[in-house]
Amino acid sequence: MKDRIVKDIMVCVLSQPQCILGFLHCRVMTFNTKLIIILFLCYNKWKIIYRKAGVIMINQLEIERVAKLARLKCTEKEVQQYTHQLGSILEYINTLNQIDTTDVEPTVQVISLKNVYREDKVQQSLDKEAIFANAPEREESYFKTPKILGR
Amino acid sequence: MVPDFQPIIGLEVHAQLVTESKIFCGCSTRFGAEPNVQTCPICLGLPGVLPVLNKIVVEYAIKAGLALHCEINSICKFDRKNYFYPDLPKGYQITQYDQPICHSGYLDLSDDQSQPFRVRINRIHLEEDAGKLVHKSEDCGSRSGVGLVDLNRTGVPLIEIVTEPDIQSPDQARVYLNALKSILEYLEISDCNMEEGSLRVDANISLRPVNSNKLGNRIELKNMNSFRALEKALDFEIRRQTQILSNRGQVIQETRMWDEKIEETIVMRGKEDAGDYRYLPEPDLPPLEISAKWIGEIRKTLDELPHERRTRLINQYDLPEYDAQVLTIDKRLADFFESAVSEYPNPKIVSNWIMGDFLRLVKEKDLEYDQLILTGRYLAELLKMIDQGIISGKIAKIVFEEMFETGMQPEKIVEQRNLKQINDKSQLSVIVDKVLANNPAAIDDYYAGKERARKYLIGQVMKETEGIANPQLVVMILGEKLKS
Repeated sequence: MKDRIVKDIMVCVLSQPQCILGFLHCRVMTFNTKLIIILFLCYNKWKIIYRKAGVIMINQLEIERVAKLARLKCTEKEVQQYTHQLGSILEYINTLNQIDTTDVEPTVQVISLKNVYREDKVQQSLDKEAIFANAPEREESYFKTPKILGR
Repeated sequence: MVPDFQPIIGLEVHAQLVTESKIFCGCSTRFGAEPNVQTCPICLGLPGVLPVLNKIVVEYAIKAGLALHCEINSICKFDRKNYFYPDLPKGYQITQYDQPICHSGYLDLSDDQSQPFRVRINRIHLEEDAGKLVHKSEDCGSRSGVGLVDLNRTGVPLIEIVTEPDIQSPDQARVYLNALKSILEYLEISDCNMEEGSLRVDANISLRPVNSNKLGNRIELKNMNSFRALEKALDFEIRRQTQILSNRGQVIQETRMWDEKIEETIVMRGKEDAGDYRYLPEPDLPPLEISAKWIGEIRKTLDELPHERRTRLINQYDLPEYDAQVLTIDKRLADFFESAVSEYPNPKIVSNWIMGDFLRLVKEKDLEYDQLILTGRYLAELLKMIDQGIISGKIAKIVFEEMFETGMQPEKIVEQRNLKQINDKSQLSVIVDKVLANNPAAIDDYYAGKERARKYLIGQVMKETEGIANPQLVVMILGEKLKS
């Protein structure tokens, strides 16, 4: 069973980050959405830490930083909880370290498609009312948001 | 003694590609439409949609790459750049991160003192534009304002052209941008209209003490809405950083924005708030494999570039280098010149008119070249009318100004405003007689040996005819009459 998990994770990491999300989502049903988002946002960071140290680790600071990037407000208790939970997820992924990937090209895509194009032709845009169908607020022909300065 | 500092500048230019439809969907890219009506589930970032790449965008990026002497990557891919802002409905921008379509190019230029310099191009990559956010302050203009979002621009195709830090002065930055703009216009891949935002420039600038290799901290500059603003912002930063460094202080690495009103740069965000974009490979778009064959085909279609056209104008029309330089700054200007010359084969005269009255009017009326309605053929017709004696050179300037504004045929203007030169000797004779009869004092002066009196009389005749008398004929008739 453990081998199976390692294999699954390997395929995921080598293919698409979204897969990790899906995979973990199935396996770790007890985690909430916030955690999943944090996990997702950590992906790139992990790759780097993983390559450097060979072991993925995560600390509270990292969780706080990523939560800030994701505009998530976490209580201290939540931060502790996620640090712990993520740590245990990462233990799975650390198992990858045992696989020799020296001669393996990084895989960006698992499907073998390439060069998929469309011609430069204008197509009908959405109907005006449909555009705003899901908008919480609008003003005339604009979407309305709270004021935001800087970026 | 305060050491001198050398500015080190790198530029990032975003140029909108001229396509009918957006980069990943079929929505129109037309400028100025009602907000949000040019959107669809793909550019609105609704779940479950699949972006598909517009082929012509790739071709345009390759064109730009070839013109800037870049290497074209045989394999490239797209990535997601993640950040939160209301103008970005997906929460990420599709761009290219570690495998841009073009890299390692250069542009050879010469500065205002004709000193050559080279700007290396680090990379050119493809990406989608974000939407437009209009800030609107409500009530007392306090913090309670709202943002209004227009997503028509979301998904409009861009290329980002990034230089190495090879630019050493605001002047050089301007020279580089002008050259780049004219290349993109020649290739007809971008309008480069800064007002409509189809060309945008960000700059990185740091100062290094002369004779030292130690680079200072880098400042990123944003929000320059014209080349002039960029120059001013760079000038301001050089002064600001020089002052800090001269007082043995340290420049803090940050992003600053140019405030056009106060003509200063102000802090936008510090280093700690610098973007952490968490790039990921874009799983919805398959990688691109660009064949040498395709690149070869595109290379064949490359139009003449500004420096090539400059050389050709010098050789083909025997123009001075300066004329050729001015005429090739903009493709439309050079096209105008060549279309006029094809009908009026005296290149230097055509060039003089363009560099004189034509460019003066463009500048006075603050026009862009694409707003011009005058055609080269009409300039040629005007010049022929001077040669044929139908109008004088002086009147031609009046006609030119009107035709520049209205785009009307010169012949029609001359007819409507009755500007046809009076070449009829008997008709002029009558007017000369009348002027002589009215100015006995001037005639006395003339006989007393005052040359000025003769010129005065000529002037009076011209005034009488509202400037349309044939001046040579007037001189002749007047001379004859005064003798007798």
